Amino acid sequence: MLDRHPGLRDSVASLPEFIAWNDSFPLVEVDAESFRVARGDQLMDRDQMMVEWIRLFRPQLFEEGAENDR
Amino acid sequence: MTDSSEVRRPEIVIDGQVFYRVEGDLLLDADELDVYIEAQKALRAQREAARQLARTGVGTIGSGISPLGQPSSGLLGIMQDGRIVRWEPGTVLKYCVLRKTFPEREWYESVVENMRRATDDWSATCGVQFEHVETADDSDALRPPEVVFPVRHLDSGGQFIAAAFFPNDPENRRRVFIDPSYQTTSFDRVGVLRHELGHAIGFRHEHIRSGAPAVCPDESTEGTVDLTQYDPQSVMHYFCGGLGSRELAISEIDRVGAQKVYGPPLTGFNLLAA
Ligand SMILES: [Zn+2]
Repeated sequence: MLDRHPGLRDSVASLPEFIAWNDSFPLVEVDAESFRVARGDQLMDRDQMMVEWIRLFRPQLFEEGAENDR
Repeated sequence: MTDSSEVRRPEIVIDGQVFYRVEGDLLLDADELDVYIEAQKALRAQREAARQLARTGVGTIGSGISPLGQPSSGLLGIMQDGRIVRWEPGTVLKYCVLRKTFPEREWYESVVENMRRATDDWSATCGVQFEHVETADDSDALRPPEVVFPVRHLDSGGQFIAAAFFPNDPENRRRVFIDPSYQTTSFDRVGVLRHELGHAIGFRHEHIRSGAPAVCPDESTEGTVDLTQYDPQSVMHYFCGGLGSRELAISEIDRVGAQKVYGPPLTGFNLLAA
């Protein structure tokens, strides 16, 4: 999803709102990889957290990207 | 059906300022809540559009995963490219329980037995097949190649009781984790595994649907499809808002939804009209 929207990953990663939201989820280490425990019982990597945040709070970012794709 | 965005959300006053709780543990002020509600409305509109698209899409995406063409009818399925994500019919979901990851032999043994019962329950519900590859249980590898997914112990510090994956997750992320809290949980331990296996065969949380109590944790519903009406007794519903159950049993409505995706159980027999 993020790969279809060039630049989105970097721009969201630096947003304080995203960082604060992301940091509010517990962190677990699995085989030297870090995941957030989100949705109660799912382990999500940073890209998945970013997609979830955009879908919840900035869905227009994906829509704008899609328009640029066309 | 009620519109969950109109449901009053729990208020918390911090230093004189009112915040509203969403996502279980996220506090938004009034302005942020407005933005959130608008986003939720947009998501629902997208979901409806995806549902329309699903009525015409057919095909497969390989890797033993098959997006089903028709929208199927209390479960919430996953949409990918306009189709429902499921395991290809006939796929045997082989698993092992990695004995060496468990600190106590009794923990391993209880998980083996509870997995057997939970997989039997799903196989008696719809056309999914599981197989415990016992010879892989003693593997030193964390991802034995002969199984679709391993079940293993992971101490998350109580962040979850157990955690699972979805059919469209990458192969190296297909695994079920069991936290030490599983051993002492007040939830039915077979039920916890029924719930996790529900994710593994493609079902999202029931309590994120419109109609669920606002106190239940929110998730983005983008990329989901309603398989049945909202079912507060679903195996995929958390124990929240006075709904859900600690048994995490597969409800009759779950059965209807699961059979729409996977068909009837393969272990029984069918009578066909002559
Ligand atoms: Zn779950």
